[in-house]
Amino acid sequence: MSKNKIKIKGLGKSFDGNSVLNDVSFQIETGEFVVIMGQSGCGKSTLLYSVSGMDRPTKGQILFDNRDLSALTDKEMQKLRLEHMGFIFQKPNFIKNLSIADNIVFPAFQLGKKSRKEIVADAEALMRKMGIISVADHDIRKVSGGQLQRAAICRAMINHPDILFGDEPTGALDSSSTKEVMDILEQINFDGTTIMLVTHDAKVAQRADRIIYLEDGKIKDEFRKKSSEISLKEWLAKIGL
Amino acid sequence: MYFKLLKNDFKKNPTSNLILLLFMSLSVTIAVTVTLMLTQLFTSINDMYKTANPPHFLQMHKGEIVQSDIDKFNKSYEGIEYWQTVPMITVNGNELTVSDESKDKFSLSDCRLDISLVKQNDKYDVLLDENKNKLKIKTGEIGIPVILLDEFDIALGDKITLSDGDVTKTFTVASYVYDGQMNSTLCSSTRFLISDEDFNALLGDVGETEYLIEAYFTDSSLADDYQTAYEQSDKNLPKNGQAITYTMIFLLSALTDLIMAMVFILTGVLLIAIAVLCLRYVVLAQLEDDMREIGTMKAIGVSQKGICKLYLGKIRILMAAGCVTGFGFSLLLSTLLTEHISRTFGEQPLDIRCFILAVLVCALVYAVILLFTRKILNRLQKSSVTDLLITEKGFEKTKKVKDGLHKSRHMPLNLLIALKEVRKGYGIIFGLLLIVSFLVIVPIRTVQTMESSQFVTYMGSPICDLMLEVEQGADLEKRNSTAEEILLDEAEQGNIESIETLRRVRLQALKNDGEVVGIHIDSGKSAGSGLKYLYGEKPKAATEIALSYLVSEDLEKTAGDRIILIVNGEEREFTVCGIYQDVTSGGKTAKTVCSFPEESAEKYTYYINMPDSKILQQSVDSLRAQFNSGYSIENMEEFVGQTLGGVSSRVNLAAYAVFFIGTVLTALIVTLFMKLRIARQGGTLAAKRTMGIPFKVICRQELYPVLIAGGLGTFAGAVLAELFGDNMISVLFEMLGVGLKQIEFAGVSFLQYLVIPALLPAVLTAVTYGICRSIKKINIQDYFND
Repeated sequence: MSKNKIKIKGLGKSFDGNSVLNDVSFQIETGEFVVIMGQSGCGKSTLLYSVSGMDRPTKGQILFDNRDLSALTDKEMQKLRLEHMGFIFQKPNFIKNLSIADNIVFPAFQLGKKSRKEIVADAEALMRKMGIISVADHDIRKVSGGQLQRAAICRAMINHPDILFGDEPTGALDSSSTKEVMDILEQINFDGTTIMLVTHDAKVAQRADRIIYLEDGKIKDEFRKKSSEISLKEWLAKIGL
Repeated sequence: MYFKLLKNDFKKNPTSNLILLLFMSLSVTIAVTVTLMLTQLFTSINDMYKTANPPHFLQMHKGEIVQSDIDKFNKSYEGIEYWQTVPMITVNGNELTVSDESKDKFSLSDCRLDISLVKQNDKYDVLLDENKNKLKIKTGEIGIPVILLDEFDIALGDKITLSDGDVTKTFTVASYVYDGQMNSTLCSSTRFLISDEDFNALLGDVGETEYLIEAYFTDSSLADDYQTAYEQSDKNLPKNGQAITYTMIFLLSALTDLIMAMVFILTGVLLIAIAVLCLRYVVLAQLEDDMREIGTMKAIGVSQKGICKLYLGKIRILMAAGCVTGFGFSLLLSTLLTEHISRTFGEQPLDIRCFILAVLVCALVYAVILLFTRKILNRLQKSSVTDLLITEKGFEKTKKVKDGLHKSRHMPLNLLIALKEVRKGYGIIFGLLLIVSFLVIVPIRTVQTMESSQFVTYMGSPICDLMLEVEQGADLEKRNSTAEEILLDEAEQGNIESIETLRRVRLQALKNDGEVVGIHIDSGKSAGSGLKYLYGEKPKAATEIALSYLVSEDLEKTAGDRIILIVNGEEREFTVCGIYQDVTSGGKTAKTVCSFPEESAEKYTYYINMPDSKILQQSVDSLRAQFNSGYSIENMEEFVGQTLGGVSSRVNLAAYAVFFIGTVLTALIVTLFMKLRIARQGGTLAAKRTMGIPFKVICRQELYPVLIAGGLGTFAGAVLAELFGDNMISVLFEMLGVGLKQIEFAGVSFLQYLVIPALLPAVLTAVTYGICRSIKKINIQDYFND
């Protein structure tokens, strides 16, 4: 496997002639935890959706394990997402008439690479790890926001993706639930899963290996925890957060 | 404000609002059309009767009459206003040939109805033209009964030649006759109008003379008592033929259109039910969508009534628009549907009273729909601000999710998902398909039953190939001996497989209160065989008698009761062994194996089975060639077809209309359902797309619950139609009082049944897939962040 999980070269995206992303280039290495920060409307979510193949960029190239995403058909892109990517969002959006456990096993059943027995065992292990095994058979409307987000992480992880994308996953949570979710994400990353997260919360960002700061659709600055000469606090102050 | 709200709502949900509007319009259309149809039917008949003056009591008679006896009896009867005896010249259909320059000649031999030539009456029992005016016919001209036009292509100006023995007379068709009395194929006779001069010239020289003995009363309800008194009076009063009263004349006239109206009433009720179902779904969906806004309104203190008013306002406006468009449509539709009424009873302009009644019915539909909307909106009261704003529980009851998906090992995933999904929110599809399949199957099964060979058993006859009747009239016994000889000869030659003979006599039966009722009794070894019995069984012993349903009702007797018949002036006791259904002879017949040699026969009937039913028509033709006038030979299938032809073709038309409407409704409601579902489930669908679930699979996951709910609904509708459909139709027939109480649907092949289940899911699939295309257009980002 390539060391570079994702390579982004000269990425541009515009809507109705309005440029949202402009010549964005960076790489994400396998096992890295990258956070994209920026003010509202700077293009960070657009960047995440383009990188994860949910949206097609207007310009530039995205290589995922050296495969050019723009060359993939919709069908190939769907397969890639199902097998190699996981997603978590601010609003988890579950299938209403299914229980928590059913929602979690759903993508793995869909992929069909393992027996259902193995999938259920995986799901139970995940739910235990995330502390939601007690609500496995619950209606999704009968659990807390934090439990729901942890269930969303379980669902995203059920197919053992190479990379987990997150769009403001803690945006609707209180501080204690945010901490719990971030602890889990940190653990997932520690176990080897690459993470790319969009957030505007500095507390969330500080868990990452690298922070990319976007402004007006361009990368304005970047912070690397291991190699930076300044502390995260100083860097945040420097970019005005 | 409501208009502004509605305008915004229309912009937001154009499809659901349009479909709602359509349903409201359709409900109003059907309700108003039925009202217009029924009022038009009754006003048409009433208007026609004003000029036509059909008799309150009619006794048909073949043979000699003594007018002075009738006059004497009538003069002494209180309440009688007028009476007359009308002579008719009864001719055979094969003696009448229709011709014109442009088409081939054809005879009226296929006409099942007894054809009579009559002259115009003065004031009573008058034959009319299409404008409901007294019809005047000149010498050499003839008026053709309008009911024959369905079967025969006879145009004005055509020539009709009567050839009977040495007499040949040609008439020109000058007009169509609108007959107040004999205007249905359910009657046994029909009248052709000729001039007084021609009539007087032909009377006695051609055909047979039959008489209509007619009586009019100060009140038509006196006719029943008169009939009893007439039959009881003494044997000299002529009664060698059928007797019928005003009520039955009216009923036979209206029956064809009444049945069609009944089918439409059923459709209308169910359509309103669908409209309410649809409304419930749309209103609940909107309440869910507006949950936060409603919560906010509640939080700032807007009253329950105030919030309801906002939603009711929209429904009121939609309903008002529905009423206007529905009313307009119904005016167009009723013009088409009342065509048969105009054709049978003459042109009838729309009466102001009909119009007012239609407006009232329209208002009733408006009120019913509004009432249901209020009921749905009551849910607002049950939800607290917390439910709406914080827990977002909404207005629907949350049900416990039972585990299943993650525990199932083998079932295909899409099916598993469908089975989970279908438990909630798909009630509308189930209900819709249940109603539609029920609605579609019942009229189709009714038509199939009416067209099946078994239906003859409801007409007091066994299932057989041919029926030969030696008709009433002079030399009956002689003509019967001839018939017997010919048939036995044919049987010996192997041309006939079996013959069953019935001899009909008219006897008087005593009611419990001693009153006397006249009944037609068919006697013979096989009398009552092959009939379906409501209660009891066929007569076996000579002291047993089976009664038709109407006779049993009239005499207040049921199986096991004793009944007294007056035979040759003496009382004789019989046991009622069974009750069967009969729509012929006014529904008042009886069957017994006992012969009554002391009583003179009214007619003889032979039920004949042929060795080869494939050459039935050839056999009919060959037999017909051997018989002269005074006999009627019918292919049984044609007999049923011609007798019920008008009724079954109207029901058939209604069945096709219902089938078409049902399919369109299904397509529309599924469109509405799927549009709303996709709008409301956008987040879930977007989540599935982010997970990489292929579009085809997402579509399948949307389709399967629709198919399961729809399939179950169709199946349930079919089961209900089979279990209760015939009972429902039986109730309708019983209400009409034509002698039918319990009809059983005829057997049907499995293949015939497959058509409906195959078509409805095909509609569901096509519509669901069509609407699912919009899933591709879902913008994922819209659903994942606030």
